[in-house]
Amino acid sequence: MSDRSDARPPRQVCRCEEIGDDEIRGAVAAGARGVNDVKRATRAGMGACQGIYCVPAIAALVAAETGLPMERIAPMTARPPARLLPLERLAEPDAPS
Amino acid sequence: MIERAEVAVVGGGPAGLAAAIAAARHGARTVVLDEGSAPGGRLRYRAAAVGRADAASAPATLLARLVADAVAAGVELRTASVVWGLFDGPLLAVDDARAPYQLGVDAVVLATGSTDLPAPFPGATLPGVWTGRALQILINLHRVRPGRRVAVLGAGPEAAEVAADVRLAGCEVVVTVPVGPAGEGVEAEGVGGLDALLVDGRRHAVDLVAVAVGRQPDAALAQMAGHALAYDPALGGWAPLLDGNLRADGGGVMVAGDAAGVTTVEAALEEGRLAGVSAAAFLGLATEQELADKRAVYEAACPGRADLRRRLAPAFTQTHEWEATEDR
Repeated sequence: MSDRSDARPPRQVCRCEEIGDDEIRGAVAAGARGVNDVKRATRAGMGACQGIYCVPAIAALVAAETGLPMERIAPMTARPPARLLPLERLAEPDAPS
Repeated sequence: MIERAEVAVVGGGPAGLAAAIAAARHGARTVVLDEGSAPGGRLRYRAAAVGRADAASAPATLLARLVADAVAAGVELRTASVVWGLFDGPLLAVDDARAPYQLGVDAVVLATGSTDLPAPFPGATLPGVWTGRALQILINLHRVRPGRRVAVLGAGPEAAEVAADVRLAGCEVVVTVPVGPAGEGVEAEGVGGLDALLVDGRRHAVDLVAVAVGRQPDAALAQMAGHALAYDPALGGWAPLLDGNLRADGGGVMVAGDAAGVTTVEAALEEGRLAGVSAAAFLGLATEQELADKRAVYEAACPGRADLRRRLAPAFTQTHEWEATEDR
């Protein structure tokens, strides 16, 4: 578990899912090497914004913790829908599945 | 329902409108899809003049001229139209709040713009902490003064622009802090709302923090369609890898403006024009010579950007990873 009593105050990196930098550092310490890894381990980037806002901050943390250059950090997988959409829109019979 | 158009432009900001005008002038049946209630993108909420400060360079004047040119060229402008997917074809999935539909096109120009970069400092989720662009929309589009005492975070053109805008709205810029995207050195303080910003331990009483540390390309549609991305800080992060005519690999997909790497309005306009001619050439409606001429104009106007694009190496291509890693 994260220890919030240390000198470094926590930063909310993924605000949709309320994931702090301490949890992301923990995921990297446990072996995460990319934004998708962090997402699977912590749910960071899985909220309403679908990573539109937070992915650069997650990638920067992974880079800082691992020493990898940013060029080596793959961005989060982009999937449709690219914007929030009412579910009924996707249920339309003619919509691509 | 599948509709057809020859060229679809996703995003009706400066790059998208310029692309649509150029494609339509070459005879392509062109549709612009914009998720906003009106076309214009950043021109809708920008106060600063574009280029020289004269009446013709006011964003509203420039936007009115672009819209008039688009309509005169026969461009169909569809607002409140969200493009939520780009599939092989190219085939666009569109939702316009009346009925979802698919738009099959011969070529598509992605001019989806950019989003603000985060700076996850402690306290950044307090009410009163805004991104710079959100503030510009509040001030310049909705005419709301968002606070009185403002701290501006950032060191680039976004920070300068938002500082000017909040002053225009009657706010006082109490402190400007050149933080980077990591938001190091600052901490917001308050209970239930913002009271102060601590900068290296020093307390500044503010009721508004503008996070203006930069922008990042919105390249999600290109990425989900399987086009390669390249990383460069000068582009704002991950941007689609494009050839000299702004084509993504695979042909009928062009990218222009902030979506191709964050840039100025002036460069977005030039790049949009080239993307529009590139789309027309892809359809056989513009000649290779016309395309080469337009490309020369663009490279002369944006030499650094064209050079940078030549140096980019493909760093990342998304396969259908959700299929490949199902069992992980």
